[in-house]
Amino acid sequence: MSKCNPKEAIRSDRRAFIKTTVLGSGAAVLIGYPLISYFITPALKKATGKWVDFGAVEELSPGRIEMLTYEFMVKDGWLVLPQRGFVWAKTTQDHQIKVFSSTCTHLACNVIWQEETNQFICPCHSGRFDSDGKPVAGPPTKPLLVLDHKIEEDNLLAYLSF
Amino acid sequence: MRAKTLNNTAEKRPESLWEKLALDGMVMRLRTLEIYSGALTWNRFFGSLLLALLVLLFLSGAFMAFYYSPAPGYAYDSVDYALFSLPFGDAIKGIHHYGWNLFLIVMGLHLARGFIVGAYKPPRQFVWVSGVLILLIVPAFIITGDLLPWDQKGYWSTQVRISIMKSVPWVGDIMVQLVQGGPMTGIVALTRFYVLHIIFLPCLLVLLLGIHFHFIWQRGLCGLISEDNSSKITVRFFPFIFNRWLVLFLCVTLVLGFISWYWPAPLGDPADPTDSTFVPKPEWWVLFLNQLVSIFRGPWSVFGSVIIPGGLTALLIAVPFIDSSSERHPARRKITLIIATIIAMVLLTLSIIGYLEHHV
Amino acid sequence: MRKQKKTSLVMFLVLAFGIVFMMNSHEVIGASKQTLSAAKVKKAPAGLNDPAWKKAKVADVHFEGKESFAGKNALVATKAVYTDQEIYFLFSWKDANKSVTKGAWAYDGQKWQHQKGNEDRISLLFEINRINNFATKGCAITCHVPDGAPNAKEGKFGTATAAEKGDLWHWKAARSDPAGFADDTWLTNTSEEKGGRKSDAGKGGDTRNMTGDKSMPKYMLAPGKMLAKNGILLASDAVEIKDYSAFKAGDTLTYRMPKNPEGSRADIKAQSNYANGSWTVMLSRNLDTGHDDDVAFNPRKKYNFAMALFDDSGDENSYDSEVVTLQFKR
Repeated sequence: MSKCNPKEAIRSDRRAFIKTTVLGSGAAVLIGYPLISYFITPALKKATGKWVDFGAVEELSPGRIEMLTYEFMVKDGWLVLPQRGFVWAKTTQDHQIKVFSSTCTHLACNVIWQEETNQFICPCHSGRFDSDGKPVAGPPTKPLLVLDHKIEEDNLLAYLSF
Repeated sequence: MRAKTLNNTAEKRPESLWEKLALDGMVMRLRTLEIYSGALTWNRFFGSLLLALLVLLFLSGAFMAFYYSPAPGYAYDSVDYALFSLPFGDAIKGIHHYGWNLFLIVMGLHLARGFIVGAYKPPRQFVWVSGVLILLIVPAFIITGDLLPWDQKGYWSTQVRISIMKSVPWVGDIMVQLVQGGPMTGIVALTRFYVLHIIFLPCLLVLLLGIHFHFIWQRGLCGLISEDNSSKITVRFFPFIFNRWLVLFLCVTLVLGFISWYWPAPLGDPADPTDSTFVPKPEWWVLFLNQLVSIFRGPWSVFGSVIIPGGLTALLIAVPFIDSSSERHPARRKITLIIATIIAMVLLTLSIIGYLEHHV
Repeated sequence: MRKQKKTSLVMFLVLAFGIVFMMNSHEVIGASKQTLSAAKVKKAPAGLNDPAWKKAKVADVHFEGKESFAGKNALVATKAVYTDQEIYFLFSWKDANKSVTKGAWAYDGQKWQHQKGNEDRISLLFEINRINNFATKGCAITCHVPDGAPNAKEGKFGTATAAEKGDLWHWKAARSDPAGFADDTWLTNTSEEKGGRKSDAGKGGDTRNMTGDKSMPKYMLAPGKMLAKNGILLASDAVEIKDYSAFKAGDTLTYRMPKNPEGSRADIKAQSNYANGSWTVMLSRNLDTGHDDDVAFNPRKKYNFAMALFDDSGDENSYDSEVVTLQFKR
């Protein structure tokens, strides 16, 4: 070995290094691509939505804001589970309906309608919204999300995304 | 001739177990390892304590996994079962629970001490950097671990953390999607948190710890600031220092075990994603961050959630390169110490305000 | 060296302070639920006025009226103590009328008739196995059959699956209390036809005192026996009536005669008193009965329960409480 030409040795070293790089990156891609796709693909699924039936419109009392609860089945990975929650429906005296999401626009806690103060309050960071969902106090700056709604066969339906 | 006799003796002498295992070199190095006693004043136990706590956290965590099923609902039942129906169940969960709280406190002290005595000064810059990196992955452990019992506190704290993550511009949404494995906090998210918590993060931690130890090994522990004769005396690592560590390990195990037995680790009500009455209260270590998030509103919110915490983190990592003189004595590093004290005071004040707001 | 000792002392103090701080800030926090703290006592309380009750902190549990009581409220002062063996609950609430009639027979000189009037009751629901969302939603979660369904009347009350099991303690002023017990029952899922309420293993409950044609009572107090509390005739003290002519106008007889419970159904003992317009009821049970139709209390754990109060009511018309957390103090 000591007879080896030093130049020759450097060249063979370089060749070996290039080989290592090629083989190494080949291995990284071969292992990495399947693993990474395996890990991220389900995560890239877009959030979907659904029209949810909240029952007869007649049940709503004009001039009030009422809690409407929902429950429907949602597929979470390999598990099918009921999704439960609530929205706030505001009915004006002339029967105009507005459906507010109960999710605080600050950090996703559930807001509660407080009749005494005429405000939605968020217990987490003391955020407050007026009866139109506009933020009036505390950290929230965005108004409560107004959900699309429609009336079909006298039932109130609202579009929930999840 | 001489070579021959050597050969002969080698053949005759029975191989020791270490030699058979080809570990003789390492054992020899450990046996002859000596440490300056100046680096070992007996009030310097934070690092050893952290190692003891880490051993306890790994052990208790690994054994808790025997009785854990990562599915919403079942997760709660399995934790409840392990906590109350198994012998030493409360001790094992309690040691894990109180262990990480203590780990975080001791880590803060370890860092503070290292800062004050200038342990990050050349040639030990990367001891500091690797240590800060370890500190930075602890929140990841807490965030993933908190959800696992699937109780109200864990679930709702996770919701708040996820929406903080979401508020990060551009990458927030995709980050949340990746961590949760989808748009909601359900079985996929719980399984991901579990696997991150028990496999990926511990591997990362061990790797960083290896790096931390590598630099300590190569660059040595930092000695006393005032060099005197006592610092030249050395102590053998094995068995003297190792025995000291064992004493510390026994003490901390007993103390944590006793605490866990007397105050069982908390387990709240089972998570109810539809419950509007539950208000998650920020834990002590995150109070200042929570306060930052509350202070900055609207277009400024990114300051509270990303820019300031990120800036502080960068600053912390960069400490050895900013204060790069080799002067270690605190009295001659006044400006550095004053700036650090101001930052620490601000964070402490924020924490206290947060504590008064949420816990009193 | 002295300086070193000082620094180490400071560090130990910081560490100790940190530990204490972390203990305190680490209670499970956030929920606004009411807590009932059971005080540990050496000697079990013998009765309603036992000094042991002074050790227990009272929780004033708010009840909201349902069905025919809608819009009304009630308040039950609740206490709990426990020994190594048993747990004791003490409830007291205002009730203008003591109702123990439960359709008792009255003789008007010619014929027997059921008197108007029902009974006062209080019931508690614990979880034997986790009832999904009971901890947050309480009894609302066990009441989900819509009106008009075939099992609506019977089946209003029950869990969603057989794996979710509740322990239902049912104190009845007329039908269980005179025998010295609360009825020990449990709750499972509702079926198509029936509700989820089941009696614990063993015997108990009450027996109807009536003849085959349901027109008059069949039993009366056996000679040498005494009527039990509130003038109630126990099934064990009854003999068949031989001579109906012995009764005079104005005589009354118990219709629902409490039986002496046996087995797992006899786990919950009761004492009670009605005075000055309020009921005081004490219930006691072994912490762990060893029966699988009972919740086993482990004093290291917290439990959720909800209560219902029935005022002169024979059906589900009641006052309901929110979920209360029961915890055991050392």
